[in-house]
Amino acid sequence: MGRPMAQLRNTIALRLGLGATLGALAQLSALALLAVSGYLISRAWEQPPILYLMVAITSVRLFGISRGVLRYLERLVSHDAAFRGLERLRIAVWRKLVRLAPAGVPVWRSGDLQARLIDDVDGVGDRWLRGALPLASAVIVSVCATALQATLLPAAGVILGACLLAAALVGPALATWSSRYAVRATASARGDLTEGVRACLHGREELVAAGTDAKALERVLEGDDRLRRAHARIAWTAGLGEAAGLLALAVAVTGALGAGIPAVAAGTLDGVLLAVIALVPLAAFEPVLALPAAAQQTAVAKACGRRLLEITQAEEPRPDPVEPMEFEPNPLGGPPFIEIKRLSVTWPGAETPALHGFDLTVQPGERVAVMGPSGSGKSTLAAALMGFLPYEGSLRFGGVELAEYDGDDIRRTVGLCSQDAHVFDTTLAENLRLARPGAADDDLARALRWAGLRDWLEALPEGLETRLGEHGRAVSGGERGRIALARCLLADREVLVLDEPDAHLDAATAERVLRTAAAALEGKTTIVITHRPLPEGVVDRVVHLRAPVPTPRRDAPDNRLLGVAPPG
Amino acid sequence: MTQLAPQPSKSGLDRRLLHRARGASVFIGVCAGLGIVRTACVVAGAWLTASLIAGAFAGGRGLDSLAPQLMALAGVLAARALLASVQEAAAHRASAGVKSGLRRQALEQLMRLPSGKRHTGETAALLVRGIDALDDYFARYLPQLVLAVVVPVGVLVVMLVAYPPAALIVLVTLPLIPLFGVLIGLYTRTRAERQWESTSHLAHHFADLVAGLPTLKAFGRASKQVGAIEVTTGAYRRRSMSLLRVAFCSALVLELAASLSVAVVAVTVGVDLVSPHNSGGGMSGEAGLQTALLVLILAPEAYLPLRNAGAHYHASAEGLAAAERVFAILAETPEDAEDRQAAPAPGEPSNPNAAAITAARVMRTPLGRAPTIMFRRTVFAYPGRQPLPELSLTVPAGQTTVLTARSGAGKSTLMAALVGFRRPVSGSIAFDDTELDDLDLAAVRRSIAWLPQRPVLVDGTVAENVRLAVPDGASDPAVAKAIAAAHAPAATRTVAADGSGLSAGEAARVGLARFLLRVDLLDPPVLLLDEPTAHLDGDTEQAVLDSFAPYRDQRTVLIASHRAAVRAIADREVDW
Repeated sequence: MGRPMAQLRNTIALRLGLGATLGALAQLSALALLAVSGYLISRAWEQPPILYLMVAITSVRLFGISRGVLRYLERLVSHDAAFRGLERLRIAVWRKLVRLAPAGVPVWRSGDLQARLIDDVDGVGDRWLRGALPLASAVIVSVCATALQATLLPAAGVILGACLLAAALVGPALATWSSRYAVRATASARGDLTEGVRACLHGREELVAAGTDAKALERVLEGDDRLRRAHARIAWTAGLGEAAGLLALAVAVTGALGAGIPAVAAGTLDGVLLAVIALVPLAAFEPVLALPAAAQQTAVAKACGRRLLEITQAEEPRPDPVEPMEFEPNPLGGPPFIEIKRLSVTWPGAETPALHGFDLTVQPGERVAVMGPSGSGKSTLAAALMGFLPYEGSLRFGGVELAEYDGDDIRRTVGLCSQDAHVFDTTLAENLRLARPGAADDDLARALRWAGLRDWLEALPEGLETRLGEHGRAVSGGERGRIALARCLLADREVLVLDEPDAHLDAATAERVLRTAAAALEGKTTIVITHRPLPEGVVDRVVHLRAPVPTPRRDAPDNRLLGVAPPG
Repeated sequence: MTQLAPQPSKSGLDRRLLHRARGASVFIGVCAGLGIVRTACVVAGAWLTASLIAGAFAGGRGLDSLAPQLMALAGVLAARALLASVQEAAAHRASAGVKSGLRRQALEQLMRLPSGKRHTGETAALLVRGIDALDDYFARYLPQLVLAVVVPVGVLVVMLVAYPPAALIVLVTLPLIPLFGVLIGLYTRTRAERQWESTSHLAHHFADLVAGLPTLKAFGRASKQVGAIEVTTGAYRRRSMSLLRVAFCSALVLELAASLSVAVVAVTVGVDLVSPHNSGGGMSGEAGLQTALLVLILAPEAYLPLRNAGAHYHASAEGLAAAERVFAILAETPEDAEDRQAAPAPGEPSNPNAAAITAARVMRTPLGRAPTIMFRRTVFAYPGRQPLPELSLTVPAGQTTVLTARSGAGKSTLMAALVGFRRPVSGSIAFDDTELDDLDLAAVRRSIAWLPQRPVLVDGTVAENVRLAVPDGASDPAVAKAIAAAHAPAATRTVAADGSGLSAGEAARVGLARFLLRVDLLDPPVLLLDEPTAHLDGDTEQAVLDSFAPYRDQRTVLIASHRAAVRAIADREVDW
């Protein structure tokens, strides 16, 4: 992770630095515009020949234009940088996720976490644009303004510097504190409210039928009341940050005049420059007054960054071996000989193994059912066979420990068909071709037939081109499982693990599908994981699995999408 | 990247939002009042600053004679700071109120609408996170918008009195800003909309890939997606930037107008000061300098709220987009079987008088004791799907019928139809020879206890969840009895709405306890149970069925289930 992140930072930092410089120059233009205008007016009052004023007049016009133009350029440069940065960040996160999936991150536990991951990446972009850049220009402008003021009148410079510093520290600190407080105060209320609303919407028909919808709604809206009370408490603290900056501005302006007026009287300051001294603070404070907002943005984005860091620094559950064995578990071709001895598998973060002391030998081409109640570690066995999890004991393919092989090599031989496999938001054909790119339409249709979806396919008006998934056609649980099965049959792996293939099917459909699938898998090794007895003749033999004695922790990573849920 | 590429807002939304949201108009009044006070502060501050500079420089006065003015300036500036704080607090309070109102309205409406194709998770996020995003609109954008109207007017009046040419310059340039904003907005509108679509498309694409990563990895396709992501996001960036190059022009016009007019004011005033005879006098002496400085300090203040409003406008886009979707929900009309007048069943001739006829029909009163339920050649269909197979079924009065059917046959649909949530496209449903359509739906629902496949859970205790059985309260002993009969977890156990805290089997038994409580209290003659024991192991299943036995007596019971133990208690078994 170190090198790509560093590269990313360098080029993006360069572009962002250019953006910050342009932003500061735009703000300095505004400052110069006001300062020179003040000078121009004061000098003009002395009524010198107008030629003496030409430089000031030209500068005023120049600064009037340059501020807008520089700001425009700054926006383009910094947005382009942010887009580029996010592009690379997305890919970096994806690369890491690929290595972690599915056991290493609990991110697949719920859709909410996935959405958060997406938001987190965007949040980092916001941190650059709305957090870091305003801060950089505020610092540059403050330093320049203080220097200018100090050159004209040291006392005024000290006052301005102190006030800017105070505003830059107190305002953002208050803003950060209040937004952190806000998050703390509202996060749980907001989460509860979301879940309550979801539950109410989900159970609408039940509640309406029972006549208890209003009652349930009131319960849910209690969460909204809590949220509202929290917001009311935050309201005042939110205003404080704003006020702090403006108070510092008040002190700076009053202080500049308080120092300047006696200096003019004493002759240490040219009266022409008094206006400059009074006006510089007004312009100098503009970027500093924007800092509370920037600080809030940074606070939010920091949380995003932290969560991303949790992912990018997460330990790989099963790192690929540095020098993997060449994967040739069966030199003659066909399925390998599988030998499992005293196999123990523990999920990352869990204290006790989900599967303990398991023995199994599978001959090439054999069909074995592993049967056991939920919690006995069946799905853990599947994850270990796929090379998703580390293990203790022995798990050999063709006499070589699975740990010696590269994970992708293992998965070219072993396939997993789970009921909750993801259906992508694309066409049915694309969803299937994932398993075998370039497969002909006939192959796809055949795989669907084997999976018992012939009638379903024929009923689709657009056939294989039907869009599935969230923005396409909704598929039922049973259909999803059979699409996953078709995908696995198409992939044509030598070893196929079927995880609860009959979960969402009625007995008759399940039996039909299992029999066709078994016929299609002739000659391949098949391991069927199930908690109910399978129909006669589908498998050659049945192995029973009992739950390990201690109950595993509840916070073990859950993986519903892959169906490799730990027990519990 | 929601904030980098804001969604173009539909015109008129702001007005609807302010109109619909209770308390918003009061808030605008408060903002306007604060704006007037703030304008006074701005003018007073500028006047005091100008007079101090002019007094010291032109008048040659020292700190002794100027001290009161300096104190006054400090006071005015401090007041302005406090005012900002009050404004912020008022804004947050108003915003919270508006959000709560909108949330309640939307939820109440959603409970009346058919669930249909709405994604519950997305809708919940819209109602909570989406509506919360309105903070940026109410607490930031709107107050600045009000100020953008109030402050320039006040400033212009003062400038007009003090030095008309400067007022003229501001008066000419100020309208340019919204004008160019609108022009550029119109020019980029279609592109911006397309860009917004591609933004959400990109986010969705990435989310889809992340969700499916375990699947991709299982097929060895995960690493290959990097190229695809690179291409998509690269194209997205180039399109975004070409749009932003134009879109940022409105900000450019704003900044240029603001700073150039300050420059022009400064130069005009300066030239007038140098040669006072040109402007007809008035611009000389201490008073002349004071006027010149006053105008110079005031000029940028006229543009400041507009600039701030522009900056906050983009941040408010997310909340506005959410508000838009909430209004779309509020505008929907209920059109499922629950509102029979509004929706004649498809296939029926749509008689313009049908509504009147149905309404005129006398609704029959509640079901008699243990009715016979008859489905006559009933066909259900979902849009875009093959219709479900035709069903003719009699559920005899006072008996327990177990319905077994192949997956996806529509058992749940059938039960939902009996409580009036689905309408058959053809055929009929009757209770004791009276068509369901002719019965008072509310009364029918009161006469039925329905246990859906996945009973709803709300935050609270098990007892509170069981109490959702009936609209009115239930006594503690009744709740305890139902919990015991259903073998549900202890009454005081806490449950979260997402089901955490309970296993699937325990959640199912909470639903069952709720069902039994309803049967106890309302004595409904019809019981519908959808897979009541799906998540239970054999022993629990038997125990639950045993305690259910007395409830079946003298009632028409329809159970959808595959389980052998359930089929064993059936008086009659029907395969669909």
